[in-house]
Amino acid sequence: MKLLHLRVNGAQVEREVPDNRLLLDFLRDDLGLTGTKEGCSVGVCGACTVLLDGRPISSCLALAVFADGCEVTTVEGLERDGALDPLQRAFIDCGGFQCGICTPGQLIAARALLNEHPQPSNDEIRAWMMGNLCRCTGYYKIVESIRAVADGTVRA
Amino acid sequence: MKIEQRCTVPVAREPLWRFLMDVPAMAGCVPGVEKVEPRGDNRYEGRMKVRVGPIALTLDGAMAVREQDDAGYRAAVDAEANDRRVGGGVHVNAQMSLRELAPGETELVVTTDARLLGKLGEFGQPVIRKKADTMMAEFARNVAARFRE
Amino acid sequence: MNAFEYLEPATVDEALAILAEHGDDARPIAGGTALVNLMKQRLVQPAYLVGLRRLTDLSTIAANGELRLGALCTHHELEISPHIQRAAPVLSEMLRRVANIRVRSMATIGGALAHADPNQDPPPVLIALDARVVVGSRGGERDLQVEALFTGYYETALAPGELITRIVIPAQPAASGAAFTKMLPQTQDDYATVSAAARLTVDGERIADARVAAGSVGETPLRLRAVERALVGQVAAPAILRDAATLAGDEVDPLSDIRGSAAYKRAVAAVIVRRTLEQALARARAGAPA
Repeated sequence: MKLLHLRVNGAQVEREVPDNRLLLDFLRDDLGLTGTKEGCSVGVCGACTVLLDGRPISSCLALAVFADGCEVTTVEGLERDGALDPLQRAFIDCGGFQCGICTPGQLIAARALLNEHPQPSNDEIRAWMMGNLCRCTGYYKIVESIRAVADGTVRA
Repeated sequence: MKIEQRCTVPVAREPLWRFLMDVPAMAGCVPGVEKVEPRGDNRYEGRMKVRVGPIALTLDGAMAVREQDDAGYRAAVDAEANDRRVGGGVHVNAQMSLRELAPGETELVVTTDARLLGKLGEFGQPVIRKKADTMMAEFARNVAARFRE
Repeated sequence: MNAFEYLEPATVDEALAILAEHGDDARPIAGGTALVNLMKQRLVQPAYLVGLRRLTDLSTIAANGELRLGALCTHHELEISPHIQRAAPVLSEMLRRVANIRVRSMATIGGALAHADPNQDPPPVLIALDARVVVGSRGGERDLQVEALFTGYYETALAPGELITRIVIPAQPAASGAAFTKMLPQTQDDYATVSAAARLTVDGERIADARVAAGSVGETPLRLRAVERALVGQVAAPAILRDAATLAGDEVDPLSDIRGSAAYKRAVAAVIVRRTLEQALARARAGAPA
């Protein structure tokens, strides 16, 4: 067992976990943050994407102990003071989601992209987002949503 | 999957045959075998450890010499073993025979029909073949060394 | 996953001491993208997992003639490094196509080499660039050429208790050019069906030096010495490159898997090597760095 001290979505968290707890299970089961989804459980689909110290990672492949002393951001942490992140607003306005199961991962991956490249080209968007799979949308609206945020055309 | 293997051992056919049919002695030359215990009636139980990169398998199982033809230098062996921790197993039916190449040189031919179960079944066949080839080569070296002693 | 004890040493010396103490019962873990998957499948069940993430000494990049990359640098950190883009752009090109952004954000270059999956992209490129690894243990340090690191399927020349600490890429020769080709007939985040890396150094009309390596073509990444021998000293003409590349078919020993049969990969290897040689030559002539 290890006692973890970390920040999750801006809030201080202290929790004891078994050494072999996955970060995904810690977030969903121990902290009740069920926005992050388990899709493939082998790190390929991206539904479990969270930010670890700002880096997009597969939480299904990360041990919870890797987050000790770190900052974790899940989809629940994208909003600021009750206001949706522009990406969330864009996904709603542009139709960037249908069933929603991949959407938390898409949003987190897109947030990481725009944090590192505020003005990505469409090719850069596609290359970065390539690892987040979607079975519903065909990806066009996801790219459009991210494009809208980068271009500053999302309604406030 | 079927695997056919051959190796040449610098030992005459007769003494090599007697060595191979002495299962506990022969097993000592198989890489990774940790123990072999006779259970009577040509049956043996044992444990073998095999590594494939980071994956360490501990195979516990049993083998039986189903047929033994001393005059023809042929035998048939059945074995099954599994690794409970990894959750996989292997069932093997093997035919072995010796062919004299020269007075002090014998070819051992082993034809194996192996069924890989559970997790082991997920290893690609080529990987298993390569592993089997490596182990066969090491077995031949160990047998040759044993006879030099 | 099995129950294990997670240890997180604060220094390299502490890590090496723990690994020496526990031997086969302990496994080092860096980014974990490969190892956690193996552990989730119960294929690897260590008693101790030695987390390396606090060893920040091993995640630096230094450029001083040669490139010295800390083993714990992630693929992404290396991918965006201006030092690497300047000194060895083929490395940046290769790194940004590895898997997906999540894997690249966690997986480390040292961890990848120690994992020794023969389908990985970094090894053939590092071999073409004449790179070596620095390996640390309680007994000291040793250097190992990358092509000598891989001894078998997922097996390396690392002894128990040893950790890769650095990857060193020497200054690339003037008048050289390097290229990497990854054949990906299925998805972009996949391992290569076949990959090839080459560095050619030209001297006037002739090829003065050639380093050629291939990935996903056997139990380990392979340096294609027959291809190299057919190039060195020759006039750098398309027919020479094509004939040399044909030799790759015999030099490789691919495994059949879901990406292709051994025969298919063998045939494709010659094509991929030829394209890589052509691109490397063009870069050498353009005066572009490796």
